[in-house]
Amino acid sequence: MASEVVMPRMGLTMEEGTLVSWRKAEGQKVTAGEPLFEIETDKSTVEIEADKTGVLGKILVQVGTTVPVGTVIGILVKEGETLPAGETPGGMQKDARPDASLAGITPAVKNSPSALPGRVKASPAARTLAKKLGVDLSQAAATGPGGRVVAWNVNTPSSAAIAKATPLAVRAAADLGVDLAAVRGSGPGGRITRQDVDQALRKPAAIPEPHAMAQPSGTIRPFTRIEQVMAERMVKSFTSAPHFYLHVTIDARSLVALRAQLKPKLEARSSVHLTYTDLLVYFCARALSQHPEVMSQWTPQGMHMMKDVHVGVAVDTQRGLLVPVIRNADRLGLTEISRVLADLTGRARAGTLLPAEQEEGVFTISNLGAFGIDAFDAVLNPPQAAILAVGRIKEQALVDVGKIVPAAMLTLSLSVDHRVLDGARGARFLGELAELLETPTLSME
Amino acid sequence: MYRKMLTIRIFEETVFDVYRKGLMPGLAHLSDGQEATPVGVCATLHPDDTITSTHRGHGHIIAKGGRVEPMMAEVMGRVTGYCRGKGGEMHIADVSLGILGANGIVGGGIGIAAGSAFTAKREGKGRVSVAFFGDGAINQGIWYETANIAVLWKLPLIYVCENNQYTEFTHFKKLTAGEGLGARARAMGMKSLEVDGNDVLAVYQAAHELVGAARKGKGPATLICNTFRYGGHHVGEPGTGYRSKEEIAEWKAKDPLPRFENILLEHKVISPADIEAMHDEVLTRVQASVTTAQQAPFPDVKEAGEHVFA
Amino acid sequence: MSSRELTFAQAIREALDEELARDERIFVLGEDVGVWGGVFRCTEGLFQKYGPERIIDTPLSEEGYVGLAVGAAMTGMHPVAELMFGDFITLVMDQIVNQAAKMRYMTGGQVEVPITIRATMGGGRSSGGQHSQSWHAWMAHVPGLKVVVPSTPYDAKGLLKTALREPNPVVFFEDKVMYAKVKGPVPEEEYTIPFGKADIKRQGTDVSLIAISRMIHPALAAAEKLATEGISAEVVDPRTLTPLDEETLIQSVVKTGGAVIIDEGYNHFGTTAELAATIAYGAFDYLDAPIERLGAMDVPIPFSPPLEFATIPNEEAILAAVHRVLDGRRR
Repeated sequence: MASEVVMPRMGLTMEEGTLVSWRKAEGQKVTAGEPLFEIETDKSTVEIEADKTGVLGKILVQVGTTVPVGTVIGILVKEGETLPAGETPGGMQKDARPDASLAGITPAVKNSPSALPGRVKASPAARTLAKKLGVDLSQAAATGPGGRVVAWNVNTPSSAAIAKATPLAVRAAADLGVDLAAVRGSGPGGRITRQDVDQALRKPAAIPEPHAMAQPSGTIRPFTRIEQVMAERMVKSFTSAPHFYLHVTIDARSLVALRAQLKPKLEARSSVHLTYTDLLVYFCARALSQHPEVMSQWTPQGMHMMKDVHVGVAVDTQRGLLVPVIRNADRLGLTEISRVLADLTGRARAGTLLPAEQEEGVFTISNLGAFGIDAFDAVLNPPQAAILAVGRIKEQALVDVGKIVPAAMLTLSLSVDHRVLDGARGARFLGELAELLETPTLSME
Repeated sequence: MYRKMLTIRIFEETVFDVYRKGLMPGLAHLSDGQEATPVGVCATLHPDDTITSTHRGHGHIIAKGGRVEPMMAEVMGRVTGYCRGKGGEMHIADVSLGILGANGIVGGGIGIAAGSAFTAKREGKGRVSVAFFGDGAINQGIWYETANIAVLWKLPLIYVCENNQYTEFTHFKKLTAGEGLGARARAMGMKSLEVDGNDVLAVYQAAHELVGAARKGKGPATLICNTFRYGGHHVGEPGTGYRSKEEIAEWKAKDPLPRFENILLEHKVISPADIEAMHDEVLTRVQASVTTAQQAPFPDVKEAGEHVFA
Repeated sequence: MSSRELTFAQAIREALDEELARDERIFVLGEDVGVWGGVFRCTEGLFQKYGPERIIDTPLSEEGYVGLAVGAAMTGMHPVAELMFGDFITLVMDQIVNQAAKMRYMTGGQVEVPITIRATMGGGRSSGGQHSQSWHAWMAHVPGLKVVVPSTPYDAKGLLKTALREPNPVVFFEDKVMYAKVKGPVPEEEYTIPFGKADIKRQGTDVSLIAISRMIHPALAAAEKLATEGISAEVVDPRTLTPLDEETLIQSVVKTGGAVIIDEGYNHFGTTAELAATIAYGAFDYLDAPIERLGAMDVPIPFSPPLEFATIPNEEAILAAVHRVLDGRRR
């Protein structure tokens, strides 16, 4: 019968021992009382005798290994006997740790009951946040256990989650006890306004019958990551920041002339290809450094004052819209801006733009002039408070000192977050920018 | 000594009255009939010697010098009481007089008394510590544990057992095995004396001997004083449901006050007129303490959170 | 500031040594604390240094010598009574609960009771159900007692010195396994640690691990492991149960939104319950998951090692609890 050779406990406090040497080799005969192996404990080196006569059938633990007391380190068999097949028999495992610890509460009620009708299961943190952001919990995704809405679900809600309601409407609804879900929104994009809430009070909300939806034709494919993020961000931006829009159409003749003049020079000297967007970045950066309040960002804790002029430029790529950021654009010369933007744009299109290169922008420029667009209003790029939408330079009739002349004109549209800037402040910035573009002077660098 | 005994008697009778008139919260545990024991023992003590008392502690406290005014106020739950109304009649203490508290737990004062004896020994000034307890406590473990330690460490601790024959509602003999406390004390290695607890001079003499020895560092001792309480275990309990009329009468015949009165009169220490005058004086004083207490305020609710920690 | 490593027991011993030298009212009493130096070596050498008047070997009479200690404390001394096994607190409950804890209050402030009771706690040594219990919750439930549960040699020394200067009853719990197994830096310079001040042993942002005494160590190990998964766990050590630093616990959970409380006392009606309630109340609006309570299983502590280890919280249980807390939530 095979018997185990174990790491012996040589003292009350001994927990483990190191195998220093085997006195016998596998296959060798062993007599009871003969030294079989040597171990080292934290106190000393000790020789251990074999307790049986036989043959050292198998060595399981090699020299130099440290094992806990009780570990089987070898198998002794009777002469002529074969080794038992299969795993070695287990010794007394001193620190046998069962798979599951029983320590801890196992309450009878594992999770609170699933949502009762009309009640939303949401964590206290989610509720607090929802109240602050004006989010309808019943529409929010619920990724917590047992179908619980957690803070994250409220913070980055999916498009269905946000009750399209203005903050005023949310507050009014709470005060007046109106259920937002039953109110029809008359604001832009079906948004519920304060008036809608008041209306709802006056007559019982007639919830329109959802007409039977025809089976939609076509297939539904899952969103790409970019689409998902864009959707989330745009919804969040559009519904939390109150947008207003300033437009100015400038006399672009000087700008056109400047570019014509500089383009060949920069190409020859620094091999950069000067674009109108480069010029816009250059002048916006300067205007921003004169009007730093345009870079501020609204947070629930307070107005976040930004001082580094990192300007983002919207880039259309095969995978969708990306906004690389030119850092400290106010400190870069025109050549540098052109070079950096070209590099960023190239890598954005190639799909090798780093996430860090799309972060920390304080202002965005979106230029759709190349697509033949005259003018447009952009959605703010959260958490930024302003975005410049640029159309195409187009020959138009201009009244110049009483005379009508053909002139290159450019329309700029500035979308502004009304929580950060009022009309006057936004206008001052745009006005300054317009002036810079109409009478451009470069500090040559 | 007589004045003290008289004060105790009148105090207890007055508290009974106060209870019956509904002027005090809770219950009272009265010791009328037992006056000689505390007075006799405390007469051998100095102001810095300490005593611990029981739930039936008014006698011990008055004997050690406690004043009736703050005692009555404490009984009636007023802020002017010894413990600002926080202890009540069962837990009165005056640490400045060496009274380390009456205790609601039977035997609760014994551990504390042992500790006080330990400190006294460390101080080396000949101070002693007295633990008063009743026949109930002789069967509590704490007595044996501290007695063992006190003998081993030669602590100046005097165990005074006021055996009023009844552990609540049961005669102590039915509850105590063997030969009783005296034998047990001797078995632990302690000297033990037993006296007529209603004879104040006998108590005094025995206490004097044991306290004197303790002061000299001879270690602990036990004094058993046989006595009787006239009232029930607590007010409202007449004490007749488990004790016969004959027994009560028998003990009343041995009343410590008249006995001592007679001795004093016999030796012409005082006159009958003195006794009467003293009686009136004490009565007036105790009754005045009731009136004063009645007019005193209850503790402010804010105080509930005070004095938890130093 | 120089620093050397001491074991938990050595730190306790050093605190006792320094305070015994500083204040002659302090004396130590207990079973085998004197000549033998204490079964866990906490009073090693003190008898030889301070003599039998100050390091006293008592008979096997817990109620007797703790009762005596209460009386000594009331009359001007500062006794340090040792309970070899915290399980024996059951034998001295009257002296601690009805006498020591209440004397100051019931006398209307006439006495101080400066007594320090050192009791052991903790299982994990196959000592069986009557020698492995942790009764800090029982003691913390009693008004009039201060309860200390240090987790490191540094904390133990600083807190014990404070206890020995405290004019109130203190029950000081020392985990048996930590005596020899936990080593840590202890400055040579004089220092004390005030009661009522929790210690954030590891800063984090995703989940709060609040652990008592020895449980700090599996909590820290779990935090290390979690860090490799990108989870940042904050480990908070209350250090004293009464007084309790509620603010630190609450602020931590306000920050992280989720808490796991780990204690070797029984779970049911225990320390984990009290801390969970405190957090639920104070951090209510910021809780993003139910509070997890990991106390010892509510059974008498078994003898056989696989059983015993299953009933005491460990690193795996903590990790599982953290995953439950973070389930479905993004950081």
